[in-house]
Amino acid sequence: MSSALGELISREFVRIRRQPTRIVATLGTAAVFWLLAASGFAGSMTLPGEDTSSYSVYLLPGIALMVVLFGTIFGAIGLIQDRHSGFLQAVLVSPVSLWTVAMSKLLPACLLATLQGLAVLASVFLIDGTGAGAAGLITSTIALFCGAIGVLSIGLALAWRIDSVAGFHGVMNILLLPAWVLSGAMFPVAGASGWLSIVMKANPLHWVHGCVGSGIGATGDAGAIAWSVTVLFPFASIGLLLLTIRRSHGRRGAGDG
Amino acid sequence: MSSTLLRAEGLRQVYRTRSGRERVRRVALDGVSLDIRRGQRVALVGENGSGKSTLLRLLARIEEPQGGAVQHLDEQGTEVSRRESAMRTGVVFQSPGLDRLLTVRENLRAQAALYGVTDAGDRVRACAERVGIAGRLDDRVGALSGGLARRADLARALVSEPSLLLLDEPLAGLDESSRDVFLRLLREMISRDPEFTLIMSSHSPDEIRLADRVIVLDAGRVAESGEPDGVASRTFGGCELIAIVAASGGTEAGSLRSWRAGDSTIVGGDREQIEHWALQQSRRGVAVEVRSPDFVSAYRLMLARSNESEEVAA
Repeated sequence: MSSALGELISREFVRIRRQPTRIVATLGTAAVFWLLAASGFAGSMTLPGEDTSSYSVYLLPGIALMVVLFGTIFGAIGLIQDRHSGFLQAVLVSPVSLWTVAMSKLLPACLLATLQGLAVLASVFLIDGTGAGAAGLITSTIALFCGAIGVLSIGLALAWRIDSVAGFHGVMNILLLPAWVLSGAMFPVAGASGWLSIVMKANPLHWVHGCVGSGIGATGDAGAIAWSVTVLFPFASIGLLLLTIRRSHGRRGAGDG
Repeated sequence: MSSTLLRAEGLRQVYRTRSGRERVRRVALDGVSLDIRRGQRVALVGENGSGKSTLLRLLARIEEPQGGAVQHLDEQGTEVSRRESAMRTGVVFQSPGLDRLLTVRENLRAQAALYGVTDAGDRVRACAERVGIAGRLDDRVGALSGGLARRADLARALVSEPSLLLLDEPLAGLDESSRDVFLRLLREMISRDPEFTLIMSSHSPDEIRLADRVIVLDAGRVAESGEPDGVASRTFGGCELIAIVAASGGTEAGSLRSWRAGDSTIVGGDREQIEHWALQQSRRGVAVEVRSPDFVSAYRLMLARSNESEEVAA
């Protein structure tokens, strides 16, 4: 049923194209935030344990993660909209598998979010071209893509259970915003107090942030643990998503089309 | 006799919902069992909240039943896979299953892809023509009127050329012309393919007239099931339907004073007595027809009475 997946993915891109404010809002918010934080608060920030050239560069992986978060939130809201419009119901009665349904929501939003994040990361060349190369940018983008899949899978699992956009926003604000702040997006773990440092290290986005940052030279070397968590994060989250969908729809599984 | 297409056994579905501050359990279906044969046209009737839509959702396999089972069977009576059953089933929901940001064509093409339709372009055009929206194929669904969107939704359900069509109150909220299109199409599909099977939840006498079997649901249970007139005679056994087919002016027909041509009611009693009374009315200038209640007229009266009692209660 690969043509079905292709058609559903192309539908998502058509939807994105017809909602340009979705892209503008995501990138615009990130740009405003970066400008305010990098130019406004840079002087009052010290970065313990980081040898990056400036706070504005340090912020970039965090801003890219923010873009990914916003992009994935829009993607998950799309699922709630599909449910309200009845389109999801029409897909669920069709012969396509729940795996196809999940991937059709996951892949387009993640690709878009990663591309938007890449645009943010690429601006490192404009700010400070010394630390990053093309290979590093590719590495960072891969980490970002893993983060996008991980976060959106969790977002979709929540959206599958939550019926209102407002309710979903509330849950996302409680979960994702703190997760973003505690990823090291604004300050490094080295400066955090003991308990906060433990919380930060329990947050998968912290490790994703490390991998994204190390690729473009915004943070230090990520290390094997960071890459292991970053690669495992999407698989665990997809598992959670499929489990949620299966529980909602009884026995219908990924392979029974 | 045609073989069984669909079998439901002991379906039970309970929803948890809120009533004020309390969490309550609402039993939507309570042990519903039924067999649907190939080529049957089934009308699910019953009051709001009787479980019609839930039953359709379970038959369409959008939800798994909490109790009991739904089986889609092949001609040998063997259960087919979920994929096979989905391939042969089309569903029209109460609200259109269409993406409002996409055009009608894009929606129908997406549907065709879901069902692996190879000649999607031709199929989409043909379905749009059948429901009379070929000229609106490139309009976004969000720009269509409610009636046109419902027609587009019917086209969506037809793209896969289903042999089983499930309809959830298909005529609800439609204007006269869209109702005509819906009914014409359903009649056409019924007459074209004797194996074509239709299951619809309905409040509309027009839809019920299409049915050769009526299932009456009451509080999540099957209250009655069978041929429409058989159900009517069991439900209104010993009753007669009195229809005022014409009322001449100036009549002083006692209790018929406020009646107008076309009015009808169901009364119980001895048929001979009722016919005698009708004859008397005719002599006084009111043409009264007495006949056994058919399902549609009985159902129409039930609805009218239910509406009246709701108005009184309000």
